[in-house]
Amino acid sequence: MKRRELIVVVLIALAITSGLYGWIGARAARSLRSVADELCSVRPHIESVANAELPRRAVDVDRAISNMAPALRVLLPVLSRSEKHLSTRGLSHTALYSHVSQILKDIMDFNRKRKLRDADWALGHLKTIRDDASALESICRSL
Amino acid sequence: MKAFLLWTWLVVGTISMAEDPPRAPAPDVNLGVSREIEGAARPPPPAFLKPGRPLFSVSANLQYTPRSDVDENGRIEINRQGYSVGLAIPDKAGRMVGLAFDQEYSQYRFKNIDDEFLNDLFDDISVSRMTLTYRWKVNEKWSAFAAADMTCSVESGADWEKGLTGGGIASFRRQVATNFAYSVGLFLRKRLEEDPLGFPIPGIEWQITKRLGLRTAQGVTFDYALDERKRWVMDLAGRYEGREFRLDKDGPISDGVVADRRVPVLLGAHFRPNPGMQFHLYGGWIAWQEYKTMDEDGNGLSVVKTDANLVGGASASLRF
Repeated sequence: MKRRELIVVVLIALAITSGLYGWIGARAARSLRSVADELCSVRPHIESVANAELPRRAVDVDRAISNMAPALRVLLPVLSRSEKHLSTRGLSHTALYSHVSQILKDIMDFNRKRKLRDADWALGHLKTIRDDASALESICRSL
Repeated sequence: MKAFLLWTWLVVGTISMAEDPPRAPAPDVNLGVSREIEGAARPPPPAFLKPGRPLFSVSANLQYTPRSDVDENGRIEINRQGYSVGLAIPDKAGRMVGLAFDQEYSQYRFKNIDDEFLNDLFDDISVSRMTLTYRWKVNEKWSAFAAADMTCSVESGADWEKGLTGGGIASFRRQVATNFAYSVGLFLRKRLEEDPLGFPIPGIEWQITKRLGLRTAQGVTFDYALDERKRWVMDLAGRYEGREFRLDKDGPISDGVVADRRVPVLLGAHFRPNPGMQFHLYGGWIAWQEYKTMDEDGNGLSVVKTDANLVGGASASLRF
């Protein structure tokens, strides 16, 4: 193969590769955008969890659970869809995915053990969920 | 005293069956299958039934799904127990009204499921169903069938009113030849949180040879009689089974819904010591199965598919 032909082949390969990367990147960006848009639509609920006032005493935890429950109920299907969407688009390595996945895991963990009526544990876990929501809110704001 | 009377009634009924004309045994208890769809494919009441004389049926069923693998390490194990009692009354004009009550209990055991929603989501499920049927033999070739049911499917601890659904079917059946009949019907069913279901039900019943038969209802069944009197019958069946239930308010998904859908392919042996009595032993493969979890507004949360796995069970039924 002549030198000129080799250069042409390399240039074509580079163009195809960069085009492919560009397409994958654009697709990933679109996916991230659509997830961010969906999360933005429920941002008031994320904010309400992030700014939830938690009781100082564990005995008052029932009230805090009741206050947080409606927002968590709205968030649950949205977070589930977002997690699934990011996962199927190969975006499991992104910060958004890890935040969505973490809060989802913590909410379900909380719901699963709520029946135990361990007020100290519940209060501690509500704080974790609040921190998760706060982190998710800031990442949504940056997207 | 009540138990003694009930047993006496059952024993006398069973013994007297030997004197009765032949009749079909009661179907298995399976709350994953619609009684309406199965009923629509059945023939009209035979002429030899004594008008006004009630026909009683009792059935019991045990089923075990030892292990459904999910992803790499997860698995689900299911135990089911069911019973059914029914009453049907034929009249002179070839009509028959029936009422059946079915109850099924299931215990699900989850282990290492990765899905946040499904893992340890529920344990004990109860499904109760009341079905009213009406069958009318129009003439030698045509018959009509209508049925409606009310079903309550709930996890232990859930509000039973939130687990209520209902459905019904209207169909007709035509006996084209002595060995072939088809049926066509419209089936409608309300579901928990998902959109109501409505679809046409085509069914056939074809006695291909003296011993080999084919019928379709909520699946396809081939049966083969091992002897002339059909005391031993083998069958191979593939069908769709769907169960859905309301979750506990205090559970991980408050008032949520789970749909357990599967397609088992089963090989079974039926033993009929007399025409109204049947024992059925079966085993097979669940070719496809998925669990769908939804919140209380019907928003999908997750869908988990399991690998193909084994299933087995036994049932006994009596009609007198």
